[in-house]
Amino acid sequence: MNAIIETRELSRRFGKHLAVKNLSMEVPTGSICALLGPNGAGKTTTIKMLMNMIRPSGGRSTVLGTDSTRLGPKEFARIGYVSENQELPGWMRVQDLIDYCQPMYPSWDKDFCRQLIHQFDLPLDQKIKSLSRGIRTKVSLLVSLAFRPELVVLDEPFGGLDALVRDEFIRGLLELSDSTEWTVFVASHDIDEVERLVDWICVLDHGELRVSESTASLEDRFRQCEFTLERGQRLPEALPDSWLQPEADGQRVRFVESDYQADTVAERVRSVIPKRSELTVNRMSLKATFMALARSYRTQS
Amino acid sequence: MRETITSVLHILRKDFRHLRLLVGVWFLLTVLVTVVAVQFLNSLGPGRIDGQFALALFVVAAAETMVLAVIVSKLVHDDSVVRSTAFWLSRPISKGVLLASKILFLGIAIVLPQKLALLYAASHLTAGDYLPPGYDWDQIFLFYTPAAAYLFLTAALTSSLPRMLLLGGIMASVTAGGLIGTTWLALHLDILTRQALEVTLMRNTELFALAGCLAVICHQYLTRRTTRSTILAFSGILVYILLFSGPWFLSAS
Repeated sequence: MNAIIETRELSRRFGKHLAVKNLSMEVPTGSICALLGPNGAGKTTTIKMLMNMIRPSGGRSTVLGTDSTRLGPKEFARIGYVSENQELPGWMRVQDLIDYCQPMYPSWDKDFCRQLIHQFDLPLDQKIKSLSRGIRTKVSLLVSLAFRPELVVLDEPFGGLDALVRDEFIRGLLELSDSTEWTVFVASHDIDEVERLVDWICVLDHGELRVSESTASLEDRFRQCEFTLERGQRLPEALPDSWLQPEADGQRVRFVESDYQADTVAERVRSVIPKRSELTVNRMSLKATFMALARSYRTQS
Repeated sequence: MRETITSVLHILRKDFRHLRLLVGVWFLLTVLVTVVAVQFLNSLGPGRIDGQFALALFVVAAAETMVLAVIVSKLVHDDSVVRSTAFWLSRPISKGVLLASKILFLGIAIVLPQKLALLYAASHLTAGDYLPPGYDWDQIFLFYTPAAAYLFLTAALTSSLPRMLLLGGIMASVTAGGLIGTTWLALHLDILTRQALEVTLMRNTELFALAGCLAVICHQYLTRRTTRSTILAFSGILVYILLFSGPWFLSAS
């Protein structure tokens, strides 16, 4: 895999708290990759290390083939970064910010910039500090996309955006992705926000990487399974590790198979529960898969 | 090289646009204080000083210092090297370019007007008692530069104006405390002579303070390691105190 972002044993400690633990992952070039995890999972810390905003406590990472602790102007001219926490110069008008950023990027595309201004419906004459959070996010996006970056890094970009604007934004990104050769790395705590966008998913939990694979592979691998136990039979205590969230409601048993293989699943269930009704297997949405994973991590911890 | 200079000037222009009002106030205050002080002192003649005038001058000077602190805070904190959320961090701006643009801004907007004011005063003040150093270029170079560097240093190590004032106060207190302590010790040990004091109060301490401030500022901008830079700053204060008090002890020995 040709990786645009690569981390090896990357860690970051804040005092006694280990925010990111030995993170090893790869983000394929050209993918739209989501870094998912609940609040406090270590997503923002990971992104800040990748962007050379904070120093790792251990391990290393490369972005665009450069050690992330050595990222400089050359690399940042190819990276568009948007974060809900990023401070924009509030005293500037939107047009001032565009005029300030434009000379920094040799690849600044004026036509594309105009198109984005129109698409985001931005008030050019207003001061940034007087704008709502959602509009500020759009301004941040504008000055991070107008130079057609090779890599777009979005850290919780949807915070403050209402549902309509969020939808417009996602559609806009999808349209841009069709016409632009870029890699998008987006951190979010909510799979709903990114489900339509992404083709690669990394899941962080308590600073540890739990999943890093394509959405297609996840959709193939996870299934919601259901069957009924025969009268008098009970669910055994020892169940396969691949069964997530097994739960029995009377005789009815449900679980999430995390290693689904169509030709062997029935046989594998039979080896655990010999006497049962017909096995029902349903495909799962990405959201349902993510929720099942998140709940199983919580149970483990 | 050309690209670097263009980038420095680009950020400099942005800062001048942002702080033009405050720089205007600073410039006016500087001109006002200098012209009025020179005229007033010249009219008084040598050997006399007016208490009310001295108080007014003190108030205006304090206001000037506050304006300076606000300018330096805005200049540095708006492109913070402490916070990881600063806008410039994800833009193609090198740390060196940012530092150069800030130093250039301070040089042009803050230090230069002060030096021009000093030159004006040196050429127009006739009252002997109040004559500034005149065309002593060493003094003119040092005039106000360490003060501006000190404020720049405290701003570079903090994330807001209140924190900057707090750190500045702590560092000044430590320095003053150290100097008072060593002076007391020298007097107590009976080793402080007039000759030794004159040797001690040489210009080198100002140069040292300026060089020390600039070294820590460069370290902070180029590495963004605030804790290490702060330790370096306090170590510098310790060396400053030792250097300052050194000649007393040396002359005694």
